[in-house]
Amino acid sequence: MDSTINEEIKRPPMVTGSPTFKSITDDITKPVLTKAPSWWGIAFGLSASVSMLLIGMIGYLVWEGVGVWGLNIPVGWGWAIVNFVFWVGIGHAGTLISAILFLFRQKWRTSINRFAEAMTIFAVMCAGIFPGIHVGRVWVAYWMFPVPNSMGMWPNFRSPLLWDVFAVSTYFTVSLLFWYVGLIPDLATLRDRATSKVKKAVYGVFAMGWSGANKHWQRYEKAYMILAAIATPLVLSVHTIVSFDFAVSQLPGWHTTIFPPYFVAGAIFSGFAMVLTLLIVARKLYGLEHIITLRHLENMNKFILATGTMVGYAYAMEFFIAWYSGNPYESFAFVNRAFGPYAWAYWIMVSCNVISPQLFWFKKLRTSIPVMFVVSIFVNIGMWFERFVITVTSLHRDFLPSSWGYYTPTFVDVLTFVGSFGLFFTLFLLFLKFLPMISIAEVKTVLPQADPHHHPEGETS
Amino acid sequence: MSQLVMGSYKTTAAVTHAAQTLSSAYPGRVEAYSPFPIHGMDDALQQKPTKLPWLALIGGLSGLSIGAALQIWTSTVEYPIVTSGKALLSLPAFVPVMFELTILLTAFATVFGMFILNRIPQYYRTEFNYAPFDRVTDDTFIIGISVSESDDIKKVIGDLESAGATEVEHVQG
Repeated sequence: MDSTINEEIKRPPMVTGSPTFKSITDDITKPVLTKAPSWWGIAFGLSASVSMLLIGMIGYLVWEGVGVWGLNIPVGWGWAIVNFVFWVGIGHAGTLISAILFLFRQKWRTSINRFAEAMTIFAVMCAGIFPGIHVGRVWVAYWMFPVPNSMGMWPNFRSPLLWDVFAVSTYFTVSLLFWYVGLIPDLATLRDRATSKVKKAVYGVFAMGWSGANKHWQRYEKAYMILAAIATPLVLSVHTIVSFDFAVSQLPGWHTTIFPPYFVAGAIFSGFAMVLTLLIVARKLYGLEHIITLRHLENMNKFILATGTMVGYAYAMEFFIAWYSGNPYESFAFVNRAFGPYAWAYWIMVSCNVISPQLFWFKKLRTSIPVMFVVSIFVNIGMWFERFVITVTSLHRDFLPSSWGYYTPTFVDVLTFVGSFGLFFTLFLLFLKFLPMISIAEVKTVLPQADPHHHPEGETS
Repeated sequence: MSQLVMGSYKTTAAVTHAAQTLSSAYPGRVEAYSPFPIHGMDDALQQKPTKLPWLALIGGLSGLSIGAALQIWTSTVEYPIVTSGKALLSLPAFVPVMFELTILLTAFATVFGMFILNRIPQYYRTEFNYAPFDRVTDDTFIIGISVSESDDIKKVIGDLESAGATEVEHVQG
């Protein structure tokens, strides 16, 4: 079932139902070139309204000030930071699928990489909003960038928060470029197949006059390869640097060397869960089950199992080190996490992230659509709680018991987060309607007839 | 005004074979067009590898040096402020930003380098005048041979036809 075995062994087909090049083009361009189904209109209206909530809440925040959030000493980092890490984490699956699996020649990725990359870009957009509004004076957020200014000030390059600005903005830019490069040949397909003048013109502009000449393909493939090669260390660096926001501080519960690999594993875990949630719905609604097969979903479940188990290992190891180090503050932070006032959040996290993916050890459950859908939702919930647990439980019991507190979000915190889902789904629905959700050119390369040495059944030469 | 003689194929095997035959008859003048990259086509057309990786390397090195220069200059010369008792020149702390800028500029050099080498955007091409060309992004494989006034167009058309092409046409514009 996996594709890490030797070439000599006959592999299962990447796409089922022996399609032709033409049927692939037709199937994938159909949602783009035909009228949107009615569910699309309803879903779009709904998510666009929810995203208005985001805009409204940000407006209210800027007008009134950060006091409308639940933040107060000792908890100075609350939902905004939790949501930032949550969304950035989700945004890791796309580049993992498109870059790392590409370098490992995992050809099954061709059916899901476009989809996952789109999700990455939208998730990173949602993520970027939160630290931007968390700075308080939103209108001077540009101080985070090294822009020459009349005050003669420069950013503090020794601060992990500044590294994060560079990491996330580089990640967003590179992901966008990678996605666009992948889209160019498919935009040309839409240009050539669109019947309306407007569509032809718009897709034509973005296809940039792509001709499919071999010399162009040669440079294109090289560019794709280089982007994959640099996006691989990039994707690992981004969540590493996000973890530095916590790990470089001196706070018990944050100051841990396991954070970078633990955060990266968690990011891949949550990202795959989100891709899975969306993919299960989209492949059904658009009738693309022969291109995004059960095997694709099963492979993703294996990733979820592996990374979920890594995350579980990290939870255990944090406790072990807290005890083994003999540091009373470190031990207190972790005992407080599991048995203190936020124990409910800790145990939600453990059940969703460590226990629920263990179902995927069984092939029957790994290949069952309802089971994987429920588990993917659990993982999304669990990973949000992981960030909540890390951020809030480490802060709420300060070094002096006199300054201990219990953090609760306000309605503004909650609705801003809900609104960010609205933005995410709005962008995602626009993507489903206006761009090919599967890479047409790449799927064609994995069909057997794409190989010039392929001979149809019964024919010899 | 450029001119081409173009013909269509239905399979990758046929177009690769034809590209091989024709590029030895017309060296440096044959180009193949396809909906996806075909394995082995570079060799069939005798096309040399691209220089794009060198552009990427230049981009990466510029990113690295810009990242180092920006941080060292602002932290030690332009705006020297001691924060948390750390040294002004704290190179380990500068690594993340140097790394990110290396990646960023490599990506820019790769993508825009690819655009420049491929001469895109280019919204008009002689090839677009060939009627079957809008199927090249779907399921058709096309071979084009650049020709000039001095060529015997009839002979080129004949060569393309005997190499198995259909819908052979002389395209100008």
